[in-house]
Amino acid sequence: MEIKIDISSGAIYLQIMDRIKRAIVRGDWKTGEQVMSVRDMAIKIGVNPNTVARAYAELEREGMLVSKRGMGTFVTEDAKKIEEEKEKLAAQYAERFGKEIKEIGISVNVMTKLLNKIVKENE
Amino acid sequence: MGLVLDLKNVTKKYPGVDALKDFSLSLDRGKIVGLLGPNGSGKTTLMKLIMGFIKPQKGEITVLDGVPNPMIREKIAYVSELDVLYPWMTVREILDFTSNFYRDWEKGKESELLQLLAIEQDKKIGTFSYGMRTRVRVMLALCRKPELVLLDDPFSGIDLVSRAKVQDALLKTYHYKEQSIVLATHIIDEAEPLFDEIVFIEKGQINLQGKADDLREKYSKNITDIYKEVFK
Repeated sequence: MEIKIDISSGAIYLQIMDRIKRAIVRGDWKTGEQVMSVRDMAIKIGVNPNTVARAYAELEREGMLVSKRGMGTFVTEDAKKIEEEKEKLAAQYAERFGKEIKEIGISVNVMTKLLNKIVKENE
Repeated sequence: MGLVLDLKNVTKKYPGVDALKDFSLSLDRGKIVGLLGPNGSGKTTLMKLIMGFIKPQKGEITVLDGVPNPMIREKIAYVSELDVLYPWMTVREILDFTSNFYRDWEKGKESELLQLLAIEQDKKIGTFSYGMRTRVRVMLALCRKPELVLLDDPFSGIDLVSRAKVQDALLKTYHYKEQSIVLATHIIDEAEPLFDEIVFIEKGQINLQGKADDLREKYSKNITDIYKEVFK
């Protein structure tokens, strides 16, 4: 998975957390699968390993990752947790989306039709 | 984890200039710290004090739990701002020569670093550009396994490719959780994701210090832009 960092978009550890959450809810990172070590991930994305460690620690705290002593870090096996996270991310998008279309004065119905059309075209 | 550096109320004066004024700084071990400030802000003086090459008029300096001395210096790799390689030596000769001085030299890292930094070991230093010579000087520090690495402005005046290579080599050879790096620079740009912690210094004093990510969040700006704001 490609993790792109933008140094002008706030804290790097938050960006890493966000990318990993998406990879997990999308299913690119599978339930129970081992994730890259902090060091390897740091080298892969070109950031300080302590920054990656902070992202992993936060994701553990939120229950998306689980670390097993001496074995490494794994994606949670809790499918319900992942589903909840997916719903949370979807709700965040919906909220942002709702605000944006309100700003340009388009109804949800019109926007939904347009959205369906674009998604179909891109399939 | 303890502190790698602890300076308390350090003052270093040169005739006519206060290089550091009542300067206090504590840094945790195991971090990569960016020491950022314009030319003449006191970065080089700070590094020389840490190495024990110069003494302060006032204040206390603790490095790796001791007072700067030759024993402690063995645990530090210092890349000074000076371009000090013999032009008639080949890279291979310099590696063999330098390795004799250090107990923490890791022979096995030589080939990895030659490759990471794209240095041809049979070439003579005299044929190299400044950027290439900087790569060689950084390589000599990274072939060791010191507890602390001090890099004095390694990005200054070097080409972009050399810069990217040095940055990549630093990250790839960094001993996570064990090693501390202090990198002084006035050009941050792409090096930004390297740093855990940032210390802004100007006119011998600290202007701002914090975790890089916390600063980015607080100011909603990248470190380069915060730098411009701090030193405007």
